Amino acid sequence: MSGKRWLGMVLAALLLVFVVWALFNDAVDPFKAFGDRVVPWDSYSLTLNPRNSKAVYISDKLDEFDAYVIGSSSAASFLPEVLDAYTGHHYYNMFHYGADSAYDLRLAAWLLEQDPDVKQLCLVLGLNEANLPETKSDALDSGWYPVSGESRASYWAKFLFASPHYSMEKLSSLRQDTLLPQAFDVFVPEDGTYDKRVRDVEPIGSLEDYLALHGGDFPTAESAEALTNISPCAEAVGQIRALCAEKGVELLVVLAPVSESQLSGYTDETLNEYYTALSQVTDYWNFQITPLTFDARYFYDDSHTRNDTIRMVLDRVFAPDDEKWPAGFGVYCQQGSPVSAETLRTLAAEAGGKHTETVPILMYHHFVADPGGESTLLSTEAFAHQMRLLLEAGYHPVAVQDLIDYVDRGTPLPERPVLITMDDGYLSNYTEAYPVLRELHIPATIFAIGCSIGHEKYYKDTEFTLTPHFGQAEIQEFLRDGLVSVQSHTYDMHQEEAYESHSPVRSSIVPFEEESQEDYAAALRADIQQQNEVFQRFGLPAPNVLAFPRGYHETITDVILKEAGYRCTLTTDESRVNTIVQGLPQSLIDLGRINVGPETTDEQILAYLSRTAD
Amino acid sequence: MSINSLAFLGFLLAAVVLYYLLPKQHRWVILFAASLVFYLTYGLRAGLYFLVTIVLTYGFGLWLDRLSKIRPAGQTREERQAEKQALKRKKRAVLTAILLLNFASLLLLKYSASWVVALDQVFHLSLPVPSFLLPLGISFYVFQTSAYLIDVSKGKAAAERNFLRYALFAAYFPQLVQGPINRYQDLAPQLFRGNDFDWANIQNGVWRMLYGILKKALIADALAPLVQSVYSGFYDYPGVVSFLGAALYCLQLYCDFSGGIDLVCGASELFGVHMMENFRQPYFSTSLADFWRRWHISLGEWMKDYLFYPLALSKSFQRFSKWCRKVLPPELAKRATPCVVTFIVFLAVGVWQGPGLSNLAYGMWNGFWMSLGLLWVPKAARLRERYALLRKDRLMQVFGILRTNLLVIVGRYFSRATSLMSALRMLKHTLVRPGFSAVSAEMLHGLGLTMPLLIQVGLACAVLLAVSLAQERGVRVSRWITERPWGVQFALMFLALLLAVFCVYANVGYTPIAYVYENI
Repeated sequence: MSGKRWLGMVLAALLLVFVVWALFNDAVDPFKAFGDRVVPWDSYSLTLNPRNSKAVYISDKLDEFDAYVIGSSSAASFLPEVLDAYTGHHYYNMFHYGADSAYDLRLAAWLLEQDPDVKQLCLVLGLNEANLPETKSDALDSGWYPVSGESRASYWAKFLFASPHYSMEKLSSLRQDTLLPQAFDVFVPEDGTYDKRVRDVEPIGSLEDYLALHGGDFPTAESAEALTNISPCAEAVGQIRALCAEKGVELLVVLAPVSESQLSGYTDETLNEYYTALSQVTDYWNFQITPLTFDARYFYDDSHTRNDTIRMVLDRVFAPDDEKWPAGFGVYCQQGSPVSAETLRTLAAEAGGKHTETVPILMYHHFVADPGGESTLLSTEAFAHQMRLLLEAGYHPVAVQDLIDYVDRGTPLPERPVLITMDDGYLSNYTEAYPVLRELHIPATIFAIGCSIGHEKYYKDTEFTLTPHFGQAEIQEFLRDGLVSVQSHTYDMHQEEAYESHSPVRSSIVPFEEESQEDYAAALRADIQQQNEVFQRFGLPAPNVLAFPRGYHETITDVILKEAGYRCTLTTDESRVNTIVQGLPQSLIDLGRINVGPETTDEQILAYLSRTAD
Repeated sequence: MSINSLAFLGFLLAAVVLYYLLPKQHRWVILFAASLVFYLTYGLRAGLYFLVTIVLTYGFGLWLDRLSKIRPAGQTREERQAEKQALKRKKRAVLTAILLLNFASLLLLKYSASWVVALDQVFHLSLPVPSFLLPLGISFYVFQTSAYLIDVSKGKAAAERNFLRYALFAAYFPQLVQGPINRYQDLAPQLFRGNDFDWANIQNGVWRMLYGILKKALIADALAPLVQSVYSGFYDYPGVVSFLGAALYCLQLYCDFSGGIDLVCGASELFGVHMMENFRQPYFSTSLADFWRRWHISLGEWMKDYLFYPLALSKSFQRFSKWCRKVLPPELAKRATPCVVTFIVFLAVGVWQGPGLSNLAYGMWNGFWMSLGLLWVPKAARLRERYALLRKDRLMQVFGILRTNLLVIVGRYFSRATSLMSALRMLKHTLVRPGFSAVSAEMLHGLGLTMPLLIQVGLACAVLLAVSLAQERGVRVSRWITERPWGVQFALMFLALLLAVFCVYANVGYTPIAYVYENI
């Protein structure tokens, strides 16, 4: 082969390489630049490049929505479902990380132009917008070309010849994909928010424990920084306001909460400069410094606010007169009259009070009137003695619903609250314990195994005998005076290995070894469904509290229970000090309990009750 | 500018085009300019160190050359003899001075910090630790210029009079990073004559560069994290994993070093400059001596010509030989000097690898077996005569290869370990707690030996083996390919370019690991 022909051959091979490269990227399309038709996976492309993928995703669904959240990741927790409930609109959250204000403006303009039905925009501002310069248009995260204004040719070339690494990563992630989010699929495409299913079921207790686990995500800044993009940011906000006014669209501007850790990087002077500049162009809600700022538990990390924290924010924005919020929680600033950082700090300090409670929980099982020398059974007398003991020591038994109200609405709890619980649903709970509870007016929660309710003699449909469980008649009694709440101990995930004919046996709620997340989720959801049906049959309200059989559970268990409406779960962890926190439903997850048996002494009970964490 | 970057490719392409555009007599100027630009991308300070070395060795080269050319002008034979002796002494003094200077700079810049630290550890003197910038390729250019000076003083080479040309010889950019250590007589003519454009050079060069870059990316850099985990955490795994790690390090090092050499030799061939070969399928060696003739050949040759022979023929060793003949049996006496000198040479190889006792131990390990090998030769011959089994060539070849590789792998415990103690601990761990049964798929997976990696490295090694076997039989693989039908060539070129683009040049997920021998 002559030299020239050889060169031609090399160039042809190179050309073919480029063709294969482009075809490969087009087919796998990790950035959703070409519609992601062959290997569709929205959550992946949104994670890799939310700016581009969200615009592509929403472009053919604009008629489904009439309101949009715009902002950086500080806007991630502005959940459309919450906004919809307050406003009656259909929100989509268009946030993307690393947002700069210039892009916010372009995005708002594009949405207003493309969707004639827009009623409301919610512009969420963090510190990012006041700090980031405009993203370069040739970068892979510069956005979809109709929004960014980039030429179609340059956009196509950029993504067709993006590093093949991205496409290969997508394919390899696809093999590792599971039901729960991983680092590569953190978005919920349907509403544009982060998939926080896992972080939203992490048990939260004392601040100390939280920082022990996540302290690394809350660094303290070593020196104060300047905000370098304040005037372009304010200018962009002003232009968004003008555009909205022109189209008759309502604009809500919110300065999102900032953690103490992030705040430590800026002086009040810098913040005031930002507040003042914004105030020249718009009204806005300022949540940057509130009592929550100083409690890391309300944040996923230094720059990301919890979904539940933003629920409180939106509650405040849309129901501002509700008395449950102190004056320092969010300040509405009229155009031209900003509220300074110093004032916010003062308000926060004044409003910040006790917002946590320590709640010890006692766990009982079976009772007998007369143990007759059998040392493993707790006598009715001992139970009555223990109940009197804790009343005399100044403890106030409460119901689980009281804890939920405290968390959701800040409804105060009595001093020294304590929770009395009984597992398995034995008949003796009614015959022995209930009279004591009634006499002393002590509320309690019983966790019944669904498939055993009403079984007085045999284990399920076998001939193995069991301790009798209560049934319809007893439940009627419980329902009548409301002192006892019957809750779930699963329908049938507390199986006795020796009595079951199949294998493997669900002796607890955790997945089998090697069980896929999907299979496990299906099994657990079916169990929850059956439990609801049984409760309905017995006239009980659907359970929203569950005690884990044998105390075992996994993250995915908590995720599925939360999805099914469960608000509170209990383990058998005696070491955990339960600290419940206003506004954080996670503080009701995986609560610890002490098992009280015949061998438990008064001293042990009192020692357990007196433990505090915060 | 890293030689495995896209920037280097662009730079190279520009240099090649300019090179052949210029008239022949000026082509070397392009090489000089490219070398200058290349070196300056690594910073000005390193360039200054290098400039000093170049100026000094250039000046001393001229001086030595002048001394070599002086003809004794004495009237009588005795006078001429005396004059000759005086000249010789002077030459030797000049040569010694410049060599000392040259090597002192290397020792100062490369080793002083670790020596001060070592002294401090022993005597607790709280000395300030010097921190010098280590200029790019210092070991290579010090060795190369030293060889030049010795050759000039011996009259084997004429000194280069043009300073810029001399600078090009010292700083020719493809060889700068990690060798090979070229000889002036071989390299200079090729650099200065202005080579004709030849498609064969381009074809060979391109293939060789592709081979080198893929060897590095697909094997060496893929194995590097795994090897790192084994060496840094060998205690957490059964001993046999340490051995596996050392064996994989052999593979990594070979693909890293020879891959780099392939890349730079290929790049050099584009200019029609054929540099010295540095490797000849070293892992096919049947003895350690054979290995050292195939591994890092340019260093081995350097050591042979400029350390082994001068030492062995020196007066001290001649006296030593005499003494040995008196006290030792004749067969042993004959081999005593080569044995001792070989051991010294390998100590030097160990020191060349870097500071630290583990490198010295690496030199001693090799020196010990090499010296023992010299003593063993006559014994082996006798054994072969007696036992027919030992005359079966194939069998002995396989045995030899296995034995050699075992010695090389154990040697790599020392050359890769962070300290002598950790190398010894790792070796002890291998022998005392091999724990074959404790090795599981999960453990290897945890170390990073995943299925995709295994497939990638496995396939790449299959190609490596096939190419090596062909080369062992004397086939020039790039030429073999260019003689295939165009369809085959096209398919191979497409595949190689696809891999190079996907895995290296367009792959943001690939962070090339610095060449192990870069800046040594």
